[in-house]
Amino acid sequence: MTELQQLNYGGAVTCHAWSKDRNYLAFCPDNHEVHIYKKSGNSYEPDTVLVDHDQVVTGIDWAPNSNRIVTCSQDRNAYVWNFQAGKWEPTLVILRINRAATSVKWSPNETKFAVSSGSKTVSVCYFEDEHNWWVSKHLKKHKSTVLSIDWHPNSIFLGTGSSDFKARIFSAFVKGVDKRPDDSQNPWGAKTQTFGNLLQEWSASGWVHQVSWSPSGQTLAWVSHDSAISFGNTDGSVQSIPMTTLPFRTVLFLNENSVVAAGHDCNPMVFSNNGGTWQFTKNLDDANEGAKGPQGSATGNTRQMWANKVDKGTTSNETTLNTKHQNAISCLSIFQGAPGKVTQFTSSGVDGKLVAWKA
Amino acid sequence: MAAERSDAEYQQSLSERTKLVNNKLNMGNGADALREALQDPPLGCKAQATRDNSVALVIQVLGSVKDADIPKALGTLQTSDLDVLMKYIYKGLESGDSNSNALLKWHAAVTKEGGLGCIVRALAERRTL
Repeated sequence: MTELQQLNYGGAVTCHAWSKDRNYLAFCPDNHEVHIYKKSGNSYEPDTVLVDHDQVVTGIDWAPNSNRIVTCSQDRNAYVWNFQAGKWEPTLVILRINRAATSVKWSPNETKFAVSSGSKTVSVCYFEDEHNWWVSKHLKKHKSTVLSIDWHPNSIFLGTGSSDFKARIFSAFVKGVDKRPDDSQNPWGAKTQTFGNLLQEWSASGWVHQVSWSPSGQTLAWVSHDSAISFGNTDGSVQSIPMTTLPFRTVLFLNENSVVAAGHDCNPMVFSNNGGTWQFTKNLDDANEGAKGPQGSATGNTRQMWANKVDKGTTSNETTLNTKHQNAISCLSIFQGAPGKVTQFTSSGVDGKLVAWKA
Repeated sequence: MAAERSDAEYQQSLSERTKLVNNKLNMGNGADALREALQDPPLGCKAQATRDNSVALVIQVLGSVKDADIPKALGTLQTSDLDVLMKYIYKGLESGDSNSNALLKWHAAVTKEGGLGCIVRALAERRTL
């Protein structure tokens, strides 16, 4: 892995997103701002700050082809940003939610985006040319906060993960914007042609933190707070793997047979599909015992050791973790390779670091 | 989600389980007794007594297994059994009785096998013992 840089000193990074050429990085340093950094040599330097939200920005997504950024925040709003005349111009989107937005994703064809929120709904937004604004439609049926969403490759099905302990698949088919889904990818037939139809529902034993579709759209992976990672297929079959580690917060499909999940253990873990059964493959962070943080002076260390002996009953002087990340990882993003053939991805988290990993 | 089972069904399951467990304990087979005792936990059962008796049964088994035999007994359990055992251990620790010594020894051993994930699942379970 390569530690790219510390984006936020003394604070978390809520979320991050890359521009298509990876020359620009957008992220939120756990406040109401969205920072855009530009590639400069081997690191990224501050470029602009977008300051339209009032509260913490919880989700950022950068559409690769149309080069639009969509951001959502705890202030119950979302903005679509267009780069015009050298500046990012915001367009407010009326989501009609009365609680915080938790995450946002562009559909693969970039004609719609979905925003999950604490008001137990997902706002699916599409652009209406007549009125020149973004209109939102709500997916209901959740009993609690919707924590994350992911679009199926056909831009019609939407997977959601909620703190009501369920992962669901909805139809987000918008008449006039979407074409009928290809039958070969569609085990639910005509049910998919009505916006808001619940196509599939799976139960978990903990809050479902993140959902992710496989490149073929046949499998939905989700991670839940009961330290499990699960894989549900569109034919209804599901496989759950209970882990001995702390819960995952985020999951990302690397290719059809490989998934990476990361969370409170600060270590991205890869799972592979061997002949139809998913299993844990490896930790990506080798958590080298020798790779510790900067060591203090000898007298300083001795004094600390005796202080620890008195205060904590232990002689160890460890304040740093062995992993690259020093706190939970909350966001994974594709860095190199097309979706479905990912060769590198980046992670950001509560420690404010950005780290790049080889898949 | 499975359909709601009646209290009577839970009670019946418990009586059968108690018989099996006592059998194994009498034969001196602690590992098997433990596995039997962990079957069909009455999670979310409405009858308090059934749940309490289930917990008491498990604690009886835990107390009867010698310290040295604990790893061997755990080795025969599946991940799902370890999760159930951890739930029973926490329930047992709640009452603060004198058996907490044995329970803490078991807690350390189960954490070694099942990891922190096992503890997380015991805490995240909504249907309580």
